[in-house]
Amino acid sequence: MPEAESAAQPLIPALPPRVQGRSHLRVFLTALHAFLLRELKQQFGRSRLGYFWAVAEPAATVAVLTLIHAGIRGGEAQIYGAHPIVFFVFGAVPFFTYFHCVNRCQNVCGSHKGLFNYRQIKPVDIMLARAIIEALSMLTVGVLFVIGWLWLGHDFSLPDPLVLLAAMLALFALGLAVGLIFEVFGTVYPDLRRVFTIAMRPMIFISGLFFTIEMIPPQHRHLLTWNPVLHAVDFAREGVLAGYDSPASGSYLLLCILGLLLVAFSAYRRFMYRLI
Amino acid sequence: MIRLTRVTKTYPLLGMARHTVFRNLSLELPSRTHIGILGRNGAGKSTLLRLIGGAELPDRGRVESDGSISPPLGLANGFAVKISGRDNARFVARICGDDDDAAQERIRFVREFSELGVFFDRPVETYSSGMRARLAFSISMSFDYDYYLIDELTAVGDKRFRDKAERTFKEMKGRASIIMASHNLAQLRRDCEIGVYLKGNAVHYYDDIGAAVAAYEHDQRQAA
Repeated sequence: MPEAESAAQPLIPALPPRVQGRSHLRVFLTALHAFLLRELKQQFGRSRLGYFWAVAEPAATVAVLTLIHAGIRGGEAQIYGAHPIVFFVFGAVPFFTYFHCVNRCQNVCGSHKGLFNYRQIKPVDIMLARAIIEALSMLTVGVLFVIGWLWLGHDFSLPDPLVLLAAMLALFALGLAVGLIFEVFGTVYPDLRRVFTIAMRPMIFISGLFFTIEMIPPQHRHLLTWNPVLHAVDFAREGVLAGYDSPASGSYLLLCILGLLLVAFSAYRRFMYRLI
Repeated sequence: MIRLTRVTKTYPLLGMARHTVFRNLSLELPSRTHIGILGRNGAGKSTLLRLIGGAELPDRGRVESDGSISPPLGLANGFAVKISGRDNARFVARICGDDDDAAQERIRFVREFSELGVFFDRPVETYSSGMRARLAFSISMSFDYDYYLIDELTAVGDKRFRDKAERTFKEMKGRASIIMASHNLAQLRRDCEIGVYLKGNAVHYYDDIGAAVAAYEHDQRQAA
C-alpha cells in the first residue's frame, strides 16, 4: 500500500532549526560572504570567458596607449625611467578598480527586488560584495602582469608597495562611495542616471590613466586636481615608479573619501525605503 | 498572532501625488491557522504580505507578531538565473545562518521536495515558471517558521505539485500558519480556514474562508 506509506511519513522531516538571535554584524557578514560566493559564481562560474574579460579590458587599454605612445615618441622612449607598458598598466589597473567599482554598483536595487524580501539582505551587501570582487580581480590582473613581465625577462621593482596598496584601497573606497551615491540617487530619481553616465564618460581622460599630475603644466593643474581619482591614481604611480615623486595630496584624497562616504551612506539610509 | 495597528501605506506617484494602499488598517491574524487573502489585481495582497514579512515598512502604524515570519515568497523570487537551483538554495541557507552541515541537509531536502531531478543542478534560467515556483516553495518549507507567507506561488505548479502543497499545508495545520494570497478560489477554500478580503481601500476579515470567497464572488458578479 504505497498510499498509506507515504501518508504515514511526514512530508517535511525534521530539518536543522533556523539560526536565531544573530547580532547585526553577524547577519551582515554572513550576507556579505554569501553574496561574494554567489557573485563569483555568476561572474566566473559558467564560462572561462569571465576570467578572460577581467584581464582583457585593461590589457587592451594598455596596448592602445602603448601603441600611441610608441607612435609619438618612438618604441624605445621611457617614462620616468620605466617602460611605457609598466607606466600604463599601473595607470589602467588603479583607474579601472575605481571605474568598475562604480559601474558594478549600478542597477543593483532594480535587479534584486525579489531578494530584498529576505530581511537580512540589504542593497549595500550586494554592492560591497561586487566592489570587493572588482578590486580583487584588478589586483590579480596587476599581479599577473608583474609575473608575466618578469617571466619575459624584464626587470621590475616595486619601490613603495605600501603606497600602491593604499592607493588601491583609496580607489576602492572612492568607487564604492560614488557607486553608492549614483545608485541611490539614480534609483530615486531615474533621470539622474543619464547625468551620471555622462559625468562618468570623461573620467577615463582626466583621471591620470595616461599621465601624471607632474606632466600637467603647472598653470593648468588646478583644472584637473579637484578630481580625487587623479590623486589616487598618481599615488599608485608613485608606488611603482622609482623615478616619480607625486605632488598629489593625501589629505585632500582622504577628505574626499570621507566626505563622499558620508554623503553616500546618509543618502542610503535616508532613501532605504525606496531602494528595496 | 500577527497584529497590524493603524497601518498606513502609500506609494509615490509622479510629482507629489501618492497612491494609498492602506489607510489606518488594523487587523489581527490568529496563529496556527491558514489564512487566505483575496482581492482583485492591485488590491494590495502582495503589499499586505510584504508588510507582514517586514520587506516593506509602513508609513505609519505598527506591525507586530509573536512568532517568526518567512519572507513573502512570490513569483519574483530573486533567484540568480545563471547559477543552479542547488547554488540558489545554498545561498538562501547561507544568508539564514546555516553552517555547512545544516546547509547540506537542507539542500538534500529541497532537492527531494522540489522534485526537480536533473534540473536541480542546471541554471535557473532553464526552468519553467512552475519549476521556479517549486524551488522557491521547497526552500521556504525547509525552514521552520511560525508563519509562512506565500504569494500566488502554488498557483502555477502542475497538479502533482499542487497536491503536494495541499498535503504539506494539511500537515502544517496546528503547527504553523500559512498566509497565502491567491486567485484560485477553490484552492483557498480547501486549504484555508480564515479569509481576508481586500476590497478597494477596505479590508474585511472573515472567520470562515467560505464566507470571504462568497463575498468576493458576489462582488465580482455584481461588477460583471
